[in-house]
Amino acid sequence: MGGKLILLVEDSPDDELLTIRALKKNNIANEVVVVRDGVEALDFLLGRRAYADRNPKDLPQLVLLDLKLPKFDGLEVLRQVREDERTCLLPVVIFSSSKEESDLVECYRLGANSYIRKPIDFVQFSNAIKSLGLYWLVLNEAPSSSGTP
Amino acid sequence: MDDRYKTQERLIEQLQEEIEARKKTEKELREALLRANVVWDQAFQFIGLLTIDGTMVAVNQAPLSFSGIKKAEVLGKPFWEAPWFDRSAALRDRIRTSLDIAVKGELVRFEEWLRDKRGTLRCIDISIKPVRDDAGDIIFVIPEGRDITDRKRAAQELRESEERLQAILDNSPAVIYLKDPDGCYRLINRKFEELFHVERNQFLGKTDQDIVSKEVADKFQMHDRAVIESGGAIQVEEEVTHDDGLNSYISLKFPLRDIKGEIYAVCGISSNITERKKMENVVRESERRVRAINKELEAFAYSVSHDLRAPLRSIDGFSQILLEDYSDVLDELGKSYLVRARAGSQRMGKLIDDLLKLSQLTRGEILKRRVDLSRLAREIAAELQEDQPEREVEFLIAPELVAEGDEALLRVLLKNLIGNAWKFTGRAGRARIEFGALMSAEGGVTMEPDEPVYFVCDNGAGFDMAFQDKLFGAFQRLHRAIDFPGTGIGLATVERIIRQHGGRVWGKGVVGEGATFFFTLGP
Repeated sequence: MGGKLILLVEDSPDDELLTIRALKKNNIANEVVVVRDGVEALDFLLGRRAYADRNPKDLPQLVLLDLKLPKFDGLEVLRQVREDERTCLLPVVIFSSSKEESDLVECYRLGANSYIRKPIDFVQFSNAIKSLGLYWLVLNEAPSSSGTP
Repeated sequence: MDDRYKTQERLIEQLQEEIEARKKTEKELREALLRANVVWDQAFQFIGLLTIDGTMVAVNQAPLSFSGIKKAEVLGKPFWEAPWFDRSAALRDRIRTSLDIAVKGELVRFEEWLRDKRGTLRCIDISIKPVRDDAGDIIFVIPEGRDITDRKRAAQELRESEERLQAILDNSPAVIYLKDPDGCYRLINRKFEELFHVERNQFLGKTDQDIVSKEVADKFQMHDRAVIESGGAIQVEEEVTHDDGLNSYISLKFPLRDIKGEIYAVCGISSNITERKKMENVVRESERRVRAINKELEAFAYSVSHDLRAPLRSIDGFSQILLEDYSDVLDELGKSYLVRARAGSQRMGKLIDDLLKLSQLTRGEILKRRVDLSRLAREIAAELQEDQPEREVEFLIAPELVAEGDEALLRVLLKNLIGNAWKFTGRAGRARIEFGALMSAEGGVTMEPDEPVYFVCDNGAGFDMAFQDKLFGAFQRLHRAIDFPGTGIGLATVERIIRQHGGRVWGKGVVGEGATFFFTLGP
């Protein structure tokens, strides 16, 4: 594999480490960029502030988005991503601890592509990452540009 | 000759004139008498004329028609012996005594009940009046009478009606009163008397200032004025202090109008709503508290689901990484500790999930429908068997047990009870699980008659009845995890579902012989 990058929006260093390890162990070699709050995630995606020199057209292949985040939470990030025409088609997978029905409903309503609950069992966690990588990075065909052409 | 003739003729003329004049006078007299007689006899009033010894010398038609007697029966006879008074000796005596007083110059007046010609008693207002000549001597006595029965009856009916109304008012739990437009009380009921410590007869005519503070009185009067100004009924809340403190009333006030349509009074009916208001406040307050608690619980549940899981993931994840990356530096014991750490964090994850499920059960509204419990039980049995095909368990599921309830919740309920039975018969030789229903008394607890009591019975590990009060508490376990694993949430869940349905659940068990759980689903 390789090529396009994965944006991991995650404020917990432990979860970040576990996720990256699981990706590696499952031979997902894509570059992983980690941002640690909602504002940073939007800055990265839209090429603002610290990421002003980034080409916003160069979008990640997949965003793994946690819900509970400092500053803007995951729902707010998702809302803004879907509102902006440059990122509205970007594949966003919610990767959260929450199994609250209200969170699920709200995420799908805002246009999340998928919702995966982080398992406690690391073996299951790793399997989830493996399936997720296989599906979104290999099987899934995304439009050539993740925004409107 | 001529002169004499002329004189004669004049005399005759004079005579004739005189005769004419007399005739005219006579005619006039006759007419006057006739008129007098007409008046006399047509008068509504009973009138007679008596000599001073009481002999009746004249009587008009009215009293004769009244009693159906003839003039001859009374004329020339003592008045008291007339048939009008034959009702009793006492009546005759009264007439006679009254006559004695009248002839001494005094007017006598009294009411008596006399019989009319149909025998009906009528109330007569009787007066006996002396008549004097120019010299001042009493020469006649005039008895008069007037039938006042109807007036009397009307007055009595009015009194009775008033008494009736007063009785109704006095027995009303509401405070009822009538005030004139000047604010003076015209009528109050007993409740009013009790509450304000007043006595009706002394209080009428007084105003609000006499019973309450000026501030309160002003408010009452403002409401009364609103009734007079609007001309219609109003409903207002009023507050007033009694012996037991401040009381709230809901007062209906409306105008009363006279025959000309003018408002002559404001009537008020005030019902005490202090208790109701207190209850409303209590209910409002507890609703507010429940909402706050629910909100808090929701926030708590959310934080549990989210924040408590993250560290568990770290414990499990890093233990696994240690096992994977450092297996060459760890001996078997070290590895087993890591395995334990992982098992512990996963068990806690399960506990958190179960706890969340339990808390979610109470949040949603329950949707009651007809539910085929037998079908649910069969499906659950099949699932259990599918999960552990190696086990041999005999299921006895009564057919056609249909109940009213929330299907999703009842499935969880049966899954817990039958799942428990499945689990606790794991070590039984010939495992048997039964689901059925019986009528109230058989369950050992008296319930509504005809209310079915469902039960799930097994021949598994059972439990000690000494701990039965701990059966349904969350995290309460009566068995060691090594024997029968579990989080201790199952029966707490069962209890909550039953409670939501308005039913009851209880268990019976004997250690080593089995357990039976009974439940009802409420009305």
